Amino acid sequence: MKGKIKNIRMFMVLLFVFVLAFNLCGVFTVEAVTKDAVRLIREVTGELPENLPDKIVVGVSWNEKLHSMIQAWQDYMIQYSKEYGQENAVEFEWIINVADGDPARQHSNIEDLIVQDVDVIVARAQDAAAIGASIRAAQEASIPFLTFDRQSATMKPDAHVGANSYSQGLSTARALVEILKNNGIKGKAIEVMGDLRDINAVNRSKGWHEVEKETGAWETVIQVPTEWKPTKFKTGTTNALEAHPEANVMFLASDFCWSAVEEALKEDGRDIKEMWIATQDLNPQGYEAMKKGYIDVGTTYDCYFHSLAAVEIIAKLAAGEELNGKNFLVPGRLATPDNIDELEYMWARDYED
Amino acid sequence: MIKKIFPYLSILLLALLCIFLAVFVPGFFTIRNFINIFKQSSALSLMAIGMSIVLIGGGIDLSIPATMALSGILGAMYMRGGGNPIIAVLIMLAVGICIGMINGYAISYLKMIPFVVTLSMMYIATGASTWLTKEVSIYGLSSSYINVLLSKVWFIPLSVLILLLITAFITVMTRRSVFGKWLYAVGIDPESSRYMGIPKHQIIFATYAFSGLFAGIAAVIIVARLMSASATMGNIDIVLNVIGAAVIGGVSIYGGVGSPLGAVIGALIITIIGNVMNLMNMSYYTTLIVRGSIIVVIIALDSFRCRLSI
Repeated sequence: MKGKIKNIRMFMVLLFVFVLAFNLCGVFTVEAVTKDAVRLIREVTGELPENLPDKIVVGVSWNEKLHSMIQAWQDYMIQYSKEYGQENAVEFEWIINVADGDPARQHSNIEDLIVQDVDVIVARAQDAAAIGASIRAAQEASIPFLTFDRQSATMKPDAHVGANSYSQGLSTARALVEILKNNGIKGKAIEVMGDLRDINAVNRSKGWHEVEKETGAWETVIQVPTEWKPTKFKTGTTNALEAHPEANVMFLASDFCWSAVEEALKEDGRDIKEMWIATQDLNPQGYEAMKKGYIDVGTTYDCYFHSLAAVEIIAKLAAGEELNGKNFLVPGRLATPDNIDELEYMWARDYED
Repeated sequence: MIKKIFPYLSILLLALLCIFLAVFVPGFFTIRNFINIFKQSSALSLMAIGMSIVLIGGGIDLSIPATMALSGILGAMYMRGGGNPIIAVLIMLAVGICIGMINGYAISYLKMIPFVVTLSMMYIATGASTWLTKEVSIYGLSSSYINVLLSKVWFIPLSVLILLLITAFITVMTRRSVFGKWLYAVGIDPESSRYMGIPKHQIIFATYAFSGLFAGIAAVIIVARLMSASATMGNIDIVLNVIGAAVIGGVSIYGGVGSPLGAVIGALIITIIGNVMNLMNMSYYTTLIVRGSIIVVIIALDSFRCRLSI
């Protein structure tokens, strides 16, 4: 009996040591990974600011919250602000509102943040033109304004953090040129565009067409406007496939609606693996599709790095640094079915659509 | 007793809401925030005035936000091309009135159903807006237009002053003028009003022309406020807010009851709710629950009022 108890005790001790060791390994790994990411992002944002205040109240205006990417941005920002706060003795408070895709409501929401005297305003614009009115209002109240992900077309904010969507378009298109060249393919392409009020959609399309012009590796036979609406991804792709049965290449401005495109391809009787498909972002749907080999190439849209960069810039603005409307653009990384599993900090692994 | 209180319910509701929020929500009861609320509610209030006139007359106009967007886009396009801002304002008003007159003609003279006519008009105006803008916002407007409309008289924004003046004028018009009396008579019982010699068709026609005009005025305000115009300004959700503002303000969707002043108070209540949810930093999901509950309350209020036959 005593022996049995001894064995159980020993087992419990071993289990405790194992769990402790496992946790410690985990902690060290996470810390090391985070530090590595911070080092990478500070190459874009620069070093820490001086004169950090004790507390920073951040007002965030999201244009909508239908997409998991926005929740990911928010979670990563809050998570990193805690780490940043511990390291630099500063407390972050977040006031967050959502505009449900209405530019007028977003303007009102930002006015409410101004009334609350936040230290910095961060906004992902619903409308690149209308956000200018909010920037103007914030500047009149002497509150620094950071545009996030989508740039303003009308007024210069104090700073902008986002992806380099133009280089994203170029990187994907150039990689596709190589793929087509290696397979001896002359492409007839369907371009599934984003919302033309979103500068990222415009830049990606610009990159795609520049490479097309430069190399002649494909000819874009039809452009499908979608306004980033899933229904338009589906109907637009269906119509384009019917109108252009010769199309053998597709360029998607984003893969967040991959399932709609996949359905359209299947309904048209296409073998998806026989189409040459280039997309952007590596959203949860796109990530899975690339793992299955449906998507041949894409450039990542790194929410994790965007959020880190945003917190770094928020701190600089709150510390009174003059950034004069500088753009802090986070470059994407080229992804193919061969390297997708090796890419670190992929938000699509943590979130589902 | 209840019947006596009901017409003043919206004012009572607004007062109670303000007292409650002043106690429990820090930052709510400040002049700065009140001006902010008035500023935010100005376009919604103007559309709600238009809607209230149509509702009192026994109709409904679902095309108000889409008309507002199309008017704003046409005026903004004219201004972007270097056009005079005063003419741009006139274009916005004229487009609104024209669309309202088309609705009014179809409903009063062609005897078409208001819901169907204005719903169709909503799609037509939205389609035209999207086609004209190619889904891209119109910006680069005249700075004098923006600066004047965003200016302040003492500490009150011009848009708020415009709203107050229009509300005062329209309240007097509906209470004191012959048009006002005929409007309520047509709304309560269209058939009897005809036997009383009231020009029913002209009154109904005029209500839609009025709502078009108010959509145009709202466009003038909102285009300046956003410094741009786009098809999304006529977002379908805004229709709910406009009808909601009118009904919360005591206007019945069954006709003949309420006032434009009530609709403005309703718009203020809706704006205050949004403002307070932001001040309290409520989570997005809670705000959805609150908004959904408000719609239920609106419907309950109106059917209660209908049962009392007020």
